[in-house]
Amino acid sequence: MRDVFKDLLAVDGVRGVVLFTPSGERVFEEFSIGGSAPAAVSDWYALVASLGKAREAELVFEKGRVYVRRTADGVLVVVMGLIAPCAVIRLNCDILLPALKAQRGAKGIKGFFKR
Amino acid sequence: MIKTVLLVDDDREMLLALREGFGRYAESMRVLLAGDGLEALEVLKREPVSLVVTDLKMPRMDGFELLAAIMGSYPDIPVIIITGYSTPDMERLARQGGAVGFTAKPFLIENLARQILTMLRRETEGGTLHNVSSGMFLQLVEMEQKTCTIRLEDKASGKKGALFFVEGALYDARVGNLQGEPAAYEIFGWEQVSLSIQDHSPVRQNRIQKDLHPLILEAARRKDEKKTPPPAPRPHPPTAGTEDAAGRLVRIQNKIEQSLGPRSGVESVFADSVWDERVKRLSRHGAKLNLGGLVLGYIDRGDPRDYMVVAGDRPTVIAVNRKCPRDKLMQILTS
Repeated sequence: MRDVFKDLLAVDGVRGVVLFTPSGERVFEEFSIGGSAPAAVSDWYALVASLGKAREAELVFEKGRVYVRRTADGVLVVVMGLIAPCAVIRLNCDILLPALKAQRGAKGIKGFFKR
Repeated sequence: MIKTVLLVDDDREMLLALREGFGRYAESMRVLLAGDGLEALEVLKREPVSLVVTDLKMPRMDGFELLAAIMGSYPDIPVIIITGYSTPDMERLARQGGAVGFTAKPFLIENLARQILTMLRRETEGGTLHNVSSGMFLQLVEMEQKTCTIRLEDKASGKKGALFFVEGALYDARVGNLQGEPAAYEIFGWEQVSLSIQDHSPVRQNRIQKDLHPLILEAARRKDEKKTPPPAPRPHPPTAGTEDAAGRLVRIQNKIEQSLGPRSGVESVFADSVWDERVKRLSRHGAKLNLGGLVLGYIDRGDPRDYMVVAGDRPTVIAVNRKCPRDKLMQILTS
């Protein structure tokens, strides 16, 4: 699981990632050292829940940004600093979300973008 | 994904025997038949064929002519030659012409089937993705300067097409008989696709002179033209005593127009009390997560239009369509 998020966590400005199941159980959580102090998982999910049925959201707060992606397989929360390459982060999510599914059996696509 | 193999031979019995022999591989491939090169080209115009197996000696259009026509218009489709008149010179000519295999008759059907399946597997050597929106993925291919062939299948129509990238540049596209930009516009109009990647591009001639991003935007515009979108939500009029809120709407509207011009993708700017509570809630969560209050939000609810909300005492809501340069607008609104 950690391998799938490796590239995303390496993007400049990304402080951490939390992945939930559709029902709100935490599947994965990792924050970079020196990143924002990890909050309680329930707090992150409360933020997601307050977005209703939004399938994608990008929220700019006073001290950081949060990118939320909802799919049939779960909800991904990416926590960023105020200056972060959001387009690159979205692209990374486009790649890794199918890869998460592919991890369960089908041939993955992970290696395609590795030079 | 079941692949389509086109068998071309003027010997009808041979074709039927091959089709029957390939019946045991029905889970991997379906077989189409053609009696000569001209008939084969007709099939290629209307069917998404993955591989062609052709005899050499045929009336009207022989195997060499067919091979040349395929290399010209469908260079991504591998061709295997089968012939009863095999000589080293013929094999050399066929391979120089672009054939990937050369088999002398008589042969074992199993051996030919194995050769076909090996070639077909190469179509997906770089991996496969299902039910994705292709736009972002393809921009990543461009960014990473990949040389590859991407084959796509539209989930809605079942149509298949191919995109050819050389070092990240889109060189060509093909859907049925369409090639170049018209084919690219059709493919980029597909919303949900399955795609497979081959780490090789047979195309060397650049038929597409535009960058990927404008092509994707133009495809979206063409698609929008075909649809009649539902009316935009009616802006709630500013309530009494909200002169400042009305002024804010105008100020934001002007700011967007000055920065992005008429092609901003903004459909309406309005204040709506429904959003007030949402913004307050998000701000409360932000504070709890040590992120502070909400400044700006972009929300995609799967509707034809997305929403940006500028936080404040009376949040301002901006309805945008898919042509909106999202990152740029967010930058403008947070500056």
